[in-house]
Amino acid sequence: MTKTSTSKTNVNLPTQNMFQSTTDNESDADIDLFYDQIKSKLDGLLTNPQDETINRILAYSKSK
Amino acid sequence: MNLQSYNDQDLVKLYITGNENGLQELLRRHKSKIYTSIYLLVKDQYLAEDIFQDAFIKVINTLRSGRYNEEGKFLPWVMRIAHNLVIDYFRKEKRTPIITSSDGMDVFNMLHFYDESAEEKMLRDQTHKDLKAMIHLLPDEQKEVLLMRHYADLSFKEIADLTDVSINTALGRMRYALSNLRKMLKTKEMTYKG
Repeated sequence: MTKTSTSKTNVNLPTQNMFQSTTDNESDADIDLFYDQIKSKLDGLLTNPQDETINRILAYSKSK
Repeated sequence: MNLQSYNDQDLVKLYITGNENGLQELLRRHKSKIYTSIYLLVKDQYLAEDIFQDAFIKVINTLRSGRYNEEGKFLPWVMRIAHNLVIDYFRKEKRTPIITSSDGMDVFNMLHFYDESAEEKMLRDQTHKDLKAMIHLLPDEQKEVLLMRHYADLSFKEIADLTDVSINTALGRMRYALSNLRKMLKTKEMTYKG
């Protein structure tokens, strides 16, 4: 019996060679469309500093 | 006094005249974009907190001393300060940023979204992790432009001035950043499909 297994999913992130300075095959419209598509995902990465940091800033301001 | 209806310039004026609520509202309004930009650049939560704090100390000192240029927009101005602090840090450390997987608690794991199924939460968490990882993989100059443009809403001229390149170079870097993210996402989709 052949045993099969599902490998753990790893994101095969590209090597530095992928970052060749060429976008010849992509039009500006493609890039613009892609940006519109990921804007909400980029916004989803928004995160806040801790309250302690904010409080320190406000305390510093009051001390000036 | 409903400060949320004040624009940034009015809040700055309010603060300069001695009302601390002006600063509090500016912080509330812009902290996530500024902090996120710093965090995605330095990839360390605690370092990002320090730089964020230092940036606002500079903001406070400049506003208090009357040196703030009223023609400038507040968010881009603070982002420039934060950006320069990040650059200063890396110069001092003389190293390129590395991905740290244990920077204290991953803030993305602390997000609580109610009325969300477990599956939806897992998918959202994975999407966040993947996109964050992909942004970290971008060349620094591309990542920088992407963050400044998207979160700080800086114009390409402002980005060019800040990073000491031409506007065309700044535009090009943005294009390459998006193109590379697109390639990475496509590669990831192909990986899932097997």
